[in-house]
Amino acid sequence: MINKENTLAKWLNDEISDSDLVAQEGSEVLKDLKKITQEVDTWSMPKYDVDAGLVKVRAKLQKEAPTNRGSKWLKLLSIMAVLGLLIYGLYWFLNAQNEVLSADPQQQMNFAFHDGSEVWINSGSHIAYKSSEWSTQRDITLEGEALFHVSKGSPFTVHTDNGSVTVLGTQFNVRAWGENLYVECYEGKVQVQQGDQTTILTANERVSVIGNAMKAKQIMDNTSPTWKNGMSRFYQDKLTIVCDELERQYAIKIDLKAGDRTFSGQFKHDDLDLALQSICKPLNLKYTISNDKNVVVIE
Amino acid sequence: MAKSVCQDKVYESLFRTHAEPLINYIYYKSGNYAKSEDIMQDTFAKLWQECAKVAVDKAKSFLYTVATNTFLNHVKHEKVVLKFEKKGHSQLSQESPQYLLEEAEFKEKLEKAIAALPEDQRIVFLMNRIDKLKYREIAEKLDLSVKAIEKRMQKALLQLRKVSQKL
Repeated sequence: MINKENTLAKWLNDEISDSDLVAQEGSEVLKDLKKITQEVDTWSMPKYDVDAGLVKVRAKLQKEAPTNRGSKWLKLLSIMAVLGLLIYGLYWFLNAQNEVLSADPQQQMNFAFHDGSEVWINSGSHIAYKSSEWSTQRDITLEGEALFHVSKGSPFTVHTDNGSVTVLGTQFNVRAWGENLYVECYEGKVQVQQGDQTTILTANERVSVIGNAMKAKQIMDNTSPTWKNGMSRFYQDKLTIVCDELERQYAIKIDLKAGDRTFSGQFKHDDLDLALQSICKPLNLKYTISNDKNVVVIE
Repeated sequence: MAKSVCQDKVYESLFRTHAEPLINYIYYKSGNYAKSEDIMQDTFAKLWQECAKVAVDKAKSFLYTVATNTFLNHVKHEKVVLKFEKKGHSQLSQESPQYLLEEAEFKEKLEKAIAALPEDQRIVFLMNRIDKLKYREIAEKLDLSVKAIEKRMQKALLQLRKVSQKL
């Protein structure tokens, strides 16, 4: 059975025969279509001169291509320039802007600054800072509550509506003569390390490392090293260490004839006689100062 | 090296194959031969500019799409007038003046009827009759199904038959 759909078109495409078309559509249709196609099939379009056309189109391409490509490049360049400016501007704009960090209610937020400092922001609190100025001035505006871990660097201040908090850093003294290390911490916090032993000193704490042994931390009452106040203080130090310090403070030569022992105590920097007494009396030693006051014999 | 439209030989071969059918295609739409040649030239120029982006097997479809768009952008929709050359006579044995006159009249009537067809039917009819393209080939060029071509042809034939009946 022949599909009745589009029979005229199918006949024209030689898919169904004349007799089939007549059977389907009647003889009139066949007659009319034959008349039409017989006429139309004698028609033609002008023969196109392909070679001439090819020459034309190539000439057109040569004329257009360079300027076209050129302007395309120029366009691309200008787009890139504008884009570059935009990015630079945006970068500058964003950097000059305050960056805001917020912790949503029921949440806490932790953020690490690029200098290694960190902040933990409590629920519903927020901070603002300028990342462009961070390397020279670490200013943070806080609304609410936050914990700060501050890395070494420029001044670090937290501003609030009720006042500001500035991190002052630490004050500590290090004494490292011979094979011993003494560290005193007066403000802030320092970490002392010897081999794989580590201890953290907070304000008013001191620690001694004798040889390879790190002693227990001690509490101290001084707020600055005694040498700043014209005194040298020792805690169970070898006498040789004490004599070395004497030589440095008074620019003298000490001839130690007594056997080694430890000394705890202090001596003043501005009175040699008094200083020698401070050391010798507790240890039951005697001292003699040469006439030119350059050599001291201790025995 | 894979075949690319950017290769001069490939491009030239595409031009030799498609230049004339492309002009005819636009002519069937516009009825303006000079304009059709311009559009064909523009279309091939575009193909060269985009040669890196057009795969060889997609070039044909690209050409017809670009030509169609260019036609839409450049040719005002005026009443289409089509004129065709006649290669010979439909029936060489009957060359009486009376017959020739009738035949010329019929040709003119048919040309008008074809020009009056909806554009999509007219194109399909003429590509098939003048360019001798199979429905499948027309479908490929126009990115349509063979079924769609067949439908358009059917409609065109039904419309043109009315002209024939009047005579």
